[in-house]
Amino acid sequence: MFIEYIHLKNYRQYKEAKFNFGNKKKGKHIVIIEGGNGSGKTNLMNAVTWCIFSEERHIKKGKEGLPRVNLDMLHSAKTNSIVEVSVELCIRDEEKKPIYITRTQRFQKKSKGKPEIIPYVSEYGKLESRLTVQYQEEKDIVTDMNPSRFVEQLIPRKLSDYFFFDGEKLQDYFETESTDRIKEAVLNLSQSELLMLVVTHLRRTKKTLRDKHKVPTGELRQLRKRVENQEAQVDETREVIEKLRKDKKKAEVELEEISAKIALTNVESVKRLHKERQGVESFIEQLSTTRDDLEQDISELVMEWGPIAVLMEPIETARQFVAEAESGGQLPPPYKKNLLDSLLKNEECLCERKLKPGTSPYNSVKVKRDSCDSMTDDSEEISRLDAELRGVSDRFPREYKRLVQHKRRLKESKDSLEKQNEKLEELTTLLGEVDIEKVQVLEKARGEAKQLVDNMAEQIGLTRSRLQRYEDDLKEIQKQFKIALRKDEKFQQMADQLDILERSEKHAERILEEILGEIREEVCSETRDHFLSLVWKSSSFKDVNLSDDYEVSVSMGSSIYSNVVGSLSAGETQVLALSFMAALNTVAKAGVPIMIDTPLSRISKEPRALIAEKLPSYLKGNQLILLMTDTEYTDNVRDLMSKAVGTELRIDYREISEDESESWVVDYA
Amino acid sequence: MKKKRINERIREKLDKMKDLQVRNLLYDAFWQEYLNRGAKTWQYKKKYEYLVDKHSADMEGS
Repeated sequence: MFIEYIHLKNYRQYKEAKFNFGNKKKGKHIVIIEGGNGSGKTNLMNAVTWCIFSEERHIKKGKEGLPRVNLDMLHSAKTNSIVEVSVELCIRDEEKKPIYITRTQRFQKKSKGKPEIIPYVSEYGKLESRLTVQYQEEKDIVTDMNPSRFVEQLIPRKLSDYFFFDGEKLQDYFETESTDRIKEAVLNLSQSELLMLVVTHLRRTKKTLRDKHKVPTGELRQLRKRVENQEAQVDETREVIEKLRKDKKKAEVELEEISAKIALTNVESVKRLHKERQGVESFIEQLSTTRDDLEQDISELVMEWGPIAVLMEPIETARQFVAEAESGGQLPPPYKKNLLDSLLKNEECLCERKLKPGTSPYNSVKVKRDSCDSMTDDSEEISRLDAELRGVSDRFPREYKRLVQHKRRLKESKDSLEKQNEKLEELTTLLGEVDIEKVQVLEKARGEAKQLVDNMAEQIGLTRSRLQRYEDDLKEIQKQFKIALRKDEKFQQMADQLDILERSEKHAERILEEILGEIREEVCSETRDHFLSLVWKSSSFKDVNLSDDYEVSVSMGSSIYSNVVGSLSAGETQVLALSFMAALNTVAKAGVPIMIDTPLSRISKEPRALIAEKLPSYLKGNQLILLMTDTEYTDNVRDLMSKAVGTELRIDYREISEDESESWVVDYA
Repeated sequence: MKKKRINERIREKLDKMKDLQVRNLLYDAFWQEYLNRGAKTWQYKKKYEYLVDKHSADMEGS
């Protein structure tokens, strides 16, 4: 999907301007719009978000109160006459068919004061602005009857921050309170949110279906009640976990705020110790995750392979016995009854010898035929079991090796964890001993906030394992209910329907889990690759990580920084944010155009060239519209990006008064 | 067109499913959620009941 043009009429400083990006050419996915400060770049982005979402998200401070209508047009209009503002976007969909999205608004000039908005009257009431969507169907252009919904399906409103954004505010991605928003965006971009709704609605439909049918018998009614109670318990526990998670997030934000205050104290030693402590804490967090994962794996391995380890000797003896029986010809070949039947019927053996009824050869084949069912079954069963035992016996040494390795790694993690905990305690003691009242107060508050976060993490863990138990019980009761339903003719259809609902729910949950895991992994590795290739001090950066909650952390030397904004320079944060945004969009495979205002503004001269060189490889599947100042889009940057730039435009402007200017678009050359 | 609007990742997973009855139901349910995204309310109950009726009776898919 790409924007072919943006057409503005009487919108803010644009009397009339058409930004024509032309057709997307292969490998040329970048559009550059260059303009000086105050030329109208940000208002071009505002025009796009206003057209799509009826919101101007990026109005500059001090300009909020100005009307949307072009002031010059308004001044030259007669009193009481109407001036119409419009923004039209022409978007080409995946099949390159055009979609025209237009928003208009009417202003009436008054003899004094601000112009008045003249609403449009529609069947839904009065509307401040009107949205129209037209698209191609076969050869005709048709008007959509529900344009807001059409647009919402095309580019969801919640996601606008990830397609149209201000480069200078990219660091917002890394604040703790943003992580939920990011997670939500990932769910939206990948449409996993819709899959979650499918799961929820399938669950509710099961209940509707059970309630719809009258269940008269005692056992069924009791089982249904048990299913309902267990479902309610599972739902309730899920809600508790969600609430705890939100509370933990709040406590983490508070902890982060206190930490930021400690980092801002003027005492150099406090700053240094605090920074070191943050690194140690992040490391402890990672080590704890590794320890928990290993413990989980070890317990699963022991559960699965422990009984087999005890039985390994008899297994080997049994296999030896089978092998000997086979080589000694004691295991009968798998005779087939049909073959023997046909021999007796044709009265001829495979060796062409005649088999006359009553003769000894005939009787011998007949005996084999009569006993061949059990002989064949036994023989097949023995070879099936032998194959199974062989599989177990082959896998056992590998699994045992894995168990030994896991145990070794677990010991290392535990040792390392112990050392880091000692270090943490030492650093906290040192900070607590600083004889400055403000630091002491902050340290105390930090200790309490940290305790709260840790307690909540523990509670979440405990509640999760309780939920697992409840879910297992629910599955068992559901199974019993279905078996009981099947016993009664009347409930066959209901049992079939419950069956398909349960299977669908299970599959949808599995797909969702797989997708979320894959996406997180890919976002992490894409962010890491982009960041390490773009950042100029790449040797000092070792790694980039992403937690389950989409919190980004960066490793430098032996330290890990989860507080990205406080630990990296403004330029480095900008690069990390660009990398993260690119990763989110690439991984989600949303294919929506992306518009960034001043992407390189915080990056100084030399790193800027490196970024410009690498930027074309960004987001190859998306149209990338970059609004850049002349100081960003230098000759050098232009040369370096040229291979991926399909269109270059420039915004020219003149200032009329303090509040008024006029902008128009020209070809870059 | 209908399939193209569904995220590639989800489409791949659904296409790999061997249980065709479930796959068809999930495709339809997903498409309903997609269509109703942005709608203030939507009567999912009737739609889902209809889908379950339709697909549980679809023996070819099973």
